[in-house]
Amino acid sequence: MRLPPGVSQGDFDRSLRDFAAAVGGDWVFSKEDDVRLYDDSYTPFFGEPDKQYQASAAVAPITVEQVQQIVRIANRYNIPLYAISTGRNLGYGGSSPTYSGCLIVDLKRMNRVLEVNDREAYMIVEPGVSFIDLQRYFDDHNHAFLVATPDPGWGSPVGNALDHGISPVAGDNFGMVAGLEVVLPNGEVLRTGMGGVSMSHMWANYPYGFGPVLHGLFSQSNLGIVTKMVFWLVRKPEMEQGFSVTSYRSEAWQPMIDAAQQMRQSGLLYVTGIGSPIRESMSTNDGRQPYGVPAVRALHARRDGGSITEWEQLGRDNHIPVARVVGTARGPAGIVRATLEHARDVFAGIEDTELKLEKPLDYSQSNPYRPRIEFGGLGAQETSRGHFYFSPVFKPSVEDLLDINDTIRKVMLDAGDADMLANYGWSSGWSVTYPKACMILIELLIHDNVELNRKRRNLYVKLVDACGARGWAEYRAPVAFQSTVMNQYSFNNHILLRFIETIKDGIDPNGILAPGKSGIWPKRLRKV
Amino acid sequence: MKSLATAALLTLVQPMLNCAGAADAEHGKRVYELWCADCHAPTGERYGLPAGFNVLQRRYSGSLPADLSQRTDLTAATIKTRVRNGLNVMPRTRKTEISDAELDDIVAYLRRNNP
Repeated sequence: MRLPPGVSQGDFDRSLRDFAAAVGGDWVFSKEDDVRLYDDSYTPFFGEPDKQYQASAAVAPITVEQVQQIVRIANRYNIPLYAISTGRNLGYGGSSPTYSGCLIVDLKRMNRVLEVNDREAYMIVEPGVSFIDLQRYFDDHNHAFLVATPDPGWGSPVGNALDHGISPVAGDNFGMVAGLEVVLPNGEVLRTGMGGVSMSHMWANYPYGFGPVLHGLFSQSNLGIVTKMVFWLVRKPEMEQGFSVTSYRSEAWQPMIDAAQQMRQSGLLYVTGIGSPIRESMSTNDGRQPYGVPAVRALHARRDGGSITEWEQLGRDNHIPVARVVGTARGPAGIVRATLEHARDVFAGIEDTELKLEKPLDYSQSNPYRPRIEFGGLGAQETSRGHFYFSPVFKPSVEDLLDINDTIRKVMLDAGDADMLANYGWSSGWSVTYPKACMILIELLIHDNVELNRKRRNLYVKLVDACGARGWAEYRAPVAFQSTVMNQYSFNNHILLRFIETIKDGIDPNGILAPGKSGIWPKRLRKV
Repeated sequence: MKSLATAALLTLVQPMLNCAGAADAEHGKRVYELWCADCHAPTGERYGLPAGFNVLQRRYSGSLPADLSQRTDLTAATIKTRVRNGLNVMPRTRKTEISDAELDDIVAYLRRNNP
């Protein structure tokens, strides 16, 4: 049995007895076989067990009162806790703690949908509800809302939103959060926003309440354990239909992006995206099935990365455009059709562009975002150990897209990593999930080869540093790299982190909640 | 908004302790369909055939069904080990997700046609 650092066997045993008294003996897991189930199934340290982040035990409460008791017991014995919702944070650490020896607070049993309000389009859920659970609940109770699932759907809306997760349904999932209920490190329960009013009549309707807006403090942080979340919901539309606009002329690219973004800013499109098909044609952009044009790979492997003219020529030679934007309209069929007609008019005003409509999706026939547990993406990778993500954000502009790719490409070149260069030397990333930010999502595959894994971890740090130096920091980070990423937020001698640490020290003096989460360490473990 | 204290608390399917002790193949089927079938049944939507089915189809080349629910040779130990510890890209599954009693039910379902 692994002990929490600094905790004696006697104290740990006593704490386990106290936890069992709080939640029931069946829901305290301290046998080695049970505790190892909380290891990250896709650890970047595969083959190096001494480096993996491992829990000491786990406890699974089913009520808020039990969470409060757990926190109080942990304070009594100085047991570090690490709360998980469903523990399926794919590519970012799963259920693994950020500090080995933490006791996992597994909230999966807190799996109630407390309220779904059809008229006002909101819901209140507990953290153990998964996206799949939620879809079943909506189906069973005839709620016509979309589930804002990432892929796969085994994760938790609460956990995903707290880690600033994204979905093609709502885009920014934390942006849909109107209120939280949180167990603080001293065991008290706090509700944010209008939840702070004793008769919380308006909790779900108005997120700010009075005074500072607090709910952000509990995302990507270790200042409390979230036990309820209020979400605003997306109504199931009648239909959606996407379009793509391409051009062989680089000068058309920025006007295309501006046009798509202006439509989005006007509320006409719910998602947009940018890219360069010819530059991406060295791979499928996900590291799975390299294909395409050898000359493209050669140009990426050249130190200068090729000129605008060379890329245009390569595009024409291979009948692959240099510029692309995509957009999607969603809503009543008449509105969608009118929006797409408007898009035709807008892009017709930009020379040398071609607009193509995608197949319309009729939501009365099917739901493309129905959450599923499907390992197709993972299973199609060239390894069977999964991946971890490098995920910086950048502006939806040609300049930023070219610059961030050039930065990433050169890091890979300097590292002599031909495989990464071939698969990820240039990518447009994901659609513009956030209204004004794009995201590059690079999967660093985990291998059976320990040395290769070490090389990829080193590459990750170099990518973080190189992009951070240019202002492109990550929106989210795997457990092993959260301090590395937080270090990029260095304005005014890291005042952001120092401010959070001040709060941390004030409300969690024993430092029991998730030491190291997002690079936030309690005073007793802080490196000077 | 209704007060949470008075709101009907609508509980989802949750891991249940099988008090009776006898494995329930029908319940095992439901748990299997919730947790396993997306990957092990031939019904892939996004990437073609799902990973679990695809891998086993390639491995057995027709000598055994790739759809686990059609197998007649699975042992309880194999099923339990795979569910708990995973294999290759399949992750571990915790007891708060599939309880020991539910795992027994899955075993009963997958072994229902065993000779």
